[in-house]
Amino acid sequence: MDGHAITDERISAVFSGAGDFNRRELRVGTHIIYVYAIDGLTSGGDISELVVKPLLQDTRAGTIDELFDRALHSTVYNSVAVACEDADDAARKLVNGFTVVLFGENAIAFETKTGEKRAPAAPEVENTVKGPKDAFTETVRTNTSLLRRHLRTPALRLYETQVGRRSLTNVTVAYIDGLTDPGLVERMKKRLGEIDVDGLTTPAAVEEYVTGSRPTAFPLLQYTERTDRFAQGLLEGRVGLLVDGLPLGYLAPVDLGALMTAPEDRGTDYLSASFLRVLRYLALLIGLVLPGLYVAMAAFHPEMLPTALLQAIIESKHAVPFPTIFEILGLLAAFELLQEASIAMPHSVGQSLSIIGGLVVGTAAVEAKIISPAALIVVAAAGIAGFALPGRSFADALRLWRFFLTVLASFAGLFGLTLGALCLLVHLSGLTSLDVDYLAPFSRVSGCRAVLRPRLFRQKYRDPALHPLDAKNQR
Amino acid sequence: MKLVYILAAVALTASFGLPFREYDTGKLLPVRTVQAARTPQGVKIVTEIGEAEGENWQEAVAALREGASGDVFFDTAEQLVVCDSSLLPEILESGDLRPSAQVYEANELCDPNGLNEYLSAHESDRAVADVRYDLLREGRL
Repeated sequence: MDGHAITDERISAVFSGAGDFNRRELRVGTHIIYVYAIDGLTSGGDISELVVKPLLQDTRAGTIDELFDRALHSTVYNSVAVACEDADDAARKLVNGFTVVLFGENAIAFETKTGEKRAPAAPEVENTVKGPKDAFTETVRTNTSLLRRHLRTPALRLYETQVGRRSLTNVTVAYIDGLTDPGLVERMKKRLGEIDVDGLTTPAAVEEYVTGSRPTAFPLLQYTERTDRFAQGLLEGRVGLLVDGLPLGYLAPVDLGALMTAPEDRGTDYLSASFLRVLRYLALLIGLVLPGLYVAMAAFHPEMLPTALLQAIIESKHAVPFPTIFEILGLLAAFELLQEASIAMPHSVGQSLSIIGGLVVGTAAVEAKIISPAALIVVAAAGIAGFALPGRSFADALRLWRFFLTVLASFAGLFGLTLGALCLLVHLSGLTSLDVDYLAPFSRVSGCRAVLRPRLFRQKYRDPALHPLDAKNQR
Repeated sequence: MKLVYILAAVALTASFGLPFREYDTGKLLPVRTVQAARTPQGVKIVTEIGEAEGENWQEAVAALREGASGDVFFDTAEQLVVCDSSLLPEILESGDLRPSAQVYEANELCDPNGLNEYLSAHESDRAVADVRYDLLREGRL
């Protein structure tokens, strides 16, 4: 398809049947020129004022090539004017909000993008108290401008490319020249270059194609809707990825330590932040193993429980017809269903659903002796602990492993649970993100730093696992 | 990596052959204090769950289990009160009680109600593990 000569027929044929495609024929002196634009992507006022008006006012005599040259270099006010290489280049420019003017066999694309786009708003998922309220939007150019406002360094590089044979999605790789490991940047560019798909329009498509669709539920890219977090990631030596149409930015490589940190950790003092991080790791453990541990202890090793606790569990289980294993697995499944249902519902209905599902049905089920209060408490505690984790993708992966560990515990008690935990450890040890180990922060002697938040003035060096060119971040 | 998963699957499959015992938690009847005494019929045991007699410890325990409304669970027993120390070898040989259970000696069987609380406040200086050690040294076990 590359290399087609630019003709009116060719461009019209590419967009034949497109209701939003505008074509206008203009007479400039003795010459006929054509103006093309896509309604909705372009601003009609800008086209009239900045492109059409100056062109029609050019009454000087000359050939069509001279008219083209004057339009490109003098007569037209528009700040961005690019000569099109061929018909396909012209078509690409049109779908990106440019106005293309055809002069004989040459064409110029003038940038006349419409200002109609969603304005940056406060983040919806990664809420912040003290942090900035300018979350990413669906427009990649808006996102790059937000990023530039956080990182004024001229060394910020924004490599732009298009991915998707049909979606032609604009993708931007962001990194800081002289800081980020060039190998990481090259790996990211290479992976983007290798993607040959129809469309790159969903987050799952970006994550799977960029990371190579590894057989894991754990995220190998970190996403964020917060620009400050994205900027901080770049300052740490990570590579950023912005995809047009997605109101979030991706950071790579990612490891377990990064997924367990919240942007608010840098918005509070190091003692509070460290305390919260320790709590978060506890929540990770509780969310992951508590249901399995309860099944193992209650069904296989009750002798390991203090007698008073065992007595309490026995009393709570009294008259409940289901074995502990089915009770826990059933409650876990119900919890997941409730969660899925509340996500699918509108916000106001979702809240009602949580109240009805969680409180009314839960209480009724306990009173009717269908489930025991102890099992309900265990599953609810594990669920709440899962919500305390900062990364949703990571928490979702843990939900899956929670089921797996509970099933193993229901087969072989603590032995099964330990076996499952070992499998998880082996699985995580084998994961890499852009060739950086997933458990990298914990493989060093200073592994505790991944858990605690050191005082900022002592955090002088960037993460060595990222191989930054500039290892030191402060004096 | 695949080898690890295969090994894990093999280990899990093999675990079915291990002597795991699964309990129905709702039916457990945890015992906290066990009293044992010699009687003309053999051995009598008294717990919070109930009492039973048999020719020896094992039979008395079996009789207690048989007469109980649920699954009598000795692993939670915190105190063992024996009225005749000659009973200790057979009780310990059965392995029914956990090593940390406190051992007391008494002249006669008592009312089990409130006994656990009383004994908890008056900790013994000997546990099942200590008695087992002594008996092994003496060659009685």
